[in-house]
Amino acid sequence: MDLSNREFWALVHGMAFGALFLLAFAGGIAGFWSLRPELITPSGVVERTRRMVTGTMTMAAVAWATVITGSWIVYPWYREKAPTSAKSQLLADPNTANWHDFGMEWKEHAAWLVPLIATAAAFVVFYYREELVNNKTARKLGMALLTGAFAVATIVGLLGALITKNASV
Amino acid sequence: MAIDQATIDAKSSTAASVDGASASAKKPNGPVIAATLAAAIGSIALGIFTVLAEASTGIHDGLEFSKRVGPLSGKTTLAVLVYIAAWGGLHAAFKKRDLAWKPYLRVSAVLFGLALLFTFPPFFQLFASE
Repeated sequence: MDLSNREFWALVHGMAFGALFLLAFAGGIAGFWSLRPELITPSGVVERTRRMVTGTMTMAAVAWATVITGSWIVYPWYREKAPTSAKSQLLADPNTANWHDFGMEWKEHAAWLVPLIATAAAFVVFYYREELVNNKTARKLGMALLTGAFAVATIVGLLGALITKNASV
Repeated sequence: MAIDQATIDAKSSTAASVDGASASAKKPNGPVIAATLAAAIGSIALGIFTVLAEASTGIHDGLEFSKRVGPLSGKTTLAVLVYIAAWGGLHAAFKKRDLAWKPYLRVSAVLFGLALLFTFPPFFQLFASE
């Protein structure tokens, strides 16, 4: 049950960071949803926003870690010129070429939108904190940004899993 | 129905409160608009670099900051630099201002949408150089 260096970093990128971001979304969106005056006491507002500040900032940091490890550690192995590289294997077979031409080409670019959007969402929470409960527009903006980051992350994560299934690094 | 901000501030040890009125004063939305718009500008910058790299071999090669990573290294590094510069500039310009939400959020939404389009392979591959 040994992991090679490449398998280890592919796991760190996809399962440790990527999956953590996707899972944390559930908590983040629930936090935003529940920050409504009719649902929460003043003590609850303080408790919840503290958790949301930590949670959304962690999500943003994890999103940055995901794309940096992906682009600068795993991706170079993927695109090696050797015929045994994942990219070479995918392109060698017309039945799998689109996993690179469409799948990886989309994933490698769109993924970088996630930390940008997630950082904006975290800033909304960090800046407004407890005021979020009385600021519907800011709350909706935070939810929209977090949901947008999650939607893009889901697509690129799914593409990554399917590409790896066809040709791992 | 709103929760009284002064009550929340009284329960929050993080809320700086010189007097009840200033602790309850609504914060201007300028910094949040700046952060959102900067993210959108960084996103469209990535989209533009992606299309340009596809359209021009010279730009493609010029964006290869790292041979191992390829042109993606330049596209993403420059996009992040554009994002940081945009955030810094917009924050400085908007930090004390309370702005109308809609125009800025609309522009941000359009830029995010264009960024998604420009990074979509069937679109940017239309510009592939011969």
